[in-house]
Amino acid sequence: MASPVLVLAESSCAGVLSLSLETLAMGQKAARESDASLAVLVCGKGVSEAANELLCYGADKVFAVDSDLLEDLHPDLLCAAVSQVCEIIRPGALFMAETLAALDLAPRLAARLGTGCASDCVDVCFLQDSVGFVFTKPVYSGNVMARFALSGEPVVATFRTRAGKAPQPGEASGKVESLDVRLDPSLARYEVVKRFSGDAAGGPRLESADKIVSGGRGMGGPEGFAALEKLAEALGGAVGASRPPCDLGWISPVHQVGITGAIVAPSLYIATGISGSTQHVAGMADSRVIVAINKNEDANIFKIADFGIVGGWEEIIPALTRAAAEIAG
Amino acid sequence: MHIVVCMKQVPDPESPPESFAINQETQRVEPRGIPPVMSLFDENALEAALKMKDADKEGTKITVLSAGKRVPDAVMLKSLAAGADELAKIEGPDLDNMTLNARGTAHVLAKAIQKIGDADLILAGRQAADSNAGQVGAELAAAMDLPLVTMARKISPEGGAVLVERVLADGYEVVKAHLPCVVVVSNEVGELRYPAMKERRKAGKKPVSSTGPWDVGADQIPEAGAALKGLEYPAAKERRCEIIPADDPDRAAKTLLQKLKEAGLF
Repeated sequence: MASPVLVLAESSCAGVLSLSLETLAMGQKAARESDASLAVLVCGKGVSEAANELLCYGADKVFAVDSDLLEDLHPDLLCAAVSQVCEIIRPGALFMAETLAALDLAPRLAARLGTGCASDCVDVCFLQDSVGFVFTKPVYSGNVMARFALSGEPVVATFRTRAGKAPQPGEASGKVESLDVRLDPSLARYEVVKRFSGDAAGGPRLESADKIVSGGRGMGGPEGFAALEKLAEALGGAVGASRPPCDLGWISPVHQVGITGAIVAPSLYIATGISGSTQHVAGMADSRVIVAINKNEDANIFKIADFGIVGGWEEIIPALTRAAAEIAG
Repeated sequence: MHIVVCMKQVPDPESPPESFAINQETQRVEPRGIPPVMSLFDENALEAALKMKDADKEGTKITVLSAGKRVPDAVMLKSLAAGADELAKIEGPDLDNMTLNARGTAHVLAKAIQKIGDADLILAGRQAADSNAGQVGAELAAAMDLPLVTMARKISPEGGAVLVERVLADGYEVVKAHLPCVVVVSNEVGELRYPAMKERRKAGKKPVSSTGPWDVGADQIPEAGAALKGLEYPAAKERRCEIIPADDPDRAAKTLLQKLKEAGLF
């Protein structure tokens, strides 16, 4: 039997991230194709609830590393914890969802282990000849898809939003196995001075939102985003943004959709005052239905939209908000 | 403080899709009719360095370091015009950006930085606009055995250390890393400033060096962690945009929502 496939799941106060469950689906696929067992790992402080939740997804093993030292998920400590877990269970592949934390951890871990790493993958398959796992990922702003085989064990890969479909939870089975790892504060090579959280405000996380209302440079300032906020609320969705409003400080960067922000694929994506740069489009083109609202009828965004309204947000967005509230009411 | 900014040149990522042609025989992407540019995120890293230089003009030196098969001055001159002090190029046939992977690149950059000698702070962009991998910063820190701070949106010096604001999923944190260290910069730092005409003229007189990888001692490029197995065009998604008339915003809104309902939403 091949070395196990290990999925590192992330959790928040709301439980296991849906993105991690989507990655779990890729782990299931990889394990099935390579005839390997599937293990899931969760690391942090007070992760027993998340670990128990993970028992419901049919993994062969669920491991937890629970340590006070992992409270802030300091990258150096997290990397040390996960690499020790890898020494214990010797996985052939380690998967994680492409989150901000994984953007740091995946290459850090691969560099430490000296193994190959592929980020932002959309698929994995297993080739029976000696090649092993082959990962598919977009390159050149999503204009080309590349397939890579990686060297070493475990190979490290991160998966983008909606690469896999989150499995439905079943009956909990088995028991969480706690792993003891040796962590020491001195492993942290930099010091966290202070932390500011709550920037993301309420509302669903972008990556897991079913409907997203996004604004671009055409919103003209923070007040445009206040209007989008109302529409998002009426639709039960989240607010997104292209890069310029984030760089200009009109809205927090956690709302950014695009190659440098969240890669999203909701059922509905409404792009308002967004011209449709490659950098943005690569982050939302897989949305099921795309609506473009823009003053400029030649804007690139209309080329990738299903529905378009040529007009200013000042008139259209409040009208949409009223109409959406009527539907909801 | 001596800041080294690692800079990659890439085919302009904002070019139309048809400019990225796949040659199946050579298994390479051949950019057609588009100019090479500095990778956007590396430009952000340079901007972070320039902001530190703004605060301490005399005490800050910025070296832009770029490795590649050939690194045209025309592309990199922009970095000098924007305010970097020096350009160091590592060029050689083995440094083909399309085949050299993160570990190899980091090895060459690490050797070059060791050769530079007095670098305090090493900056890299969060990912390259072409390979979209985001690994060189981490590999560089590992190769040099230096602390690594990622997702930086602001960097300021503090004694023999730097204070770095890191972007988190639900906010940000301020961390303190002792020098020398590697900081991977995110785009929230802001776009690279536009150089004034005067600076552009001065840029041509700033020192530019070009050496081969062997000159810096990077003769044994480590084995790649990733092997390319194939290139394809993404499955084309056909969308035809139906324009909804907007003369009456309320009616347009109702029509749109009706259409969305028909598409199975709500």
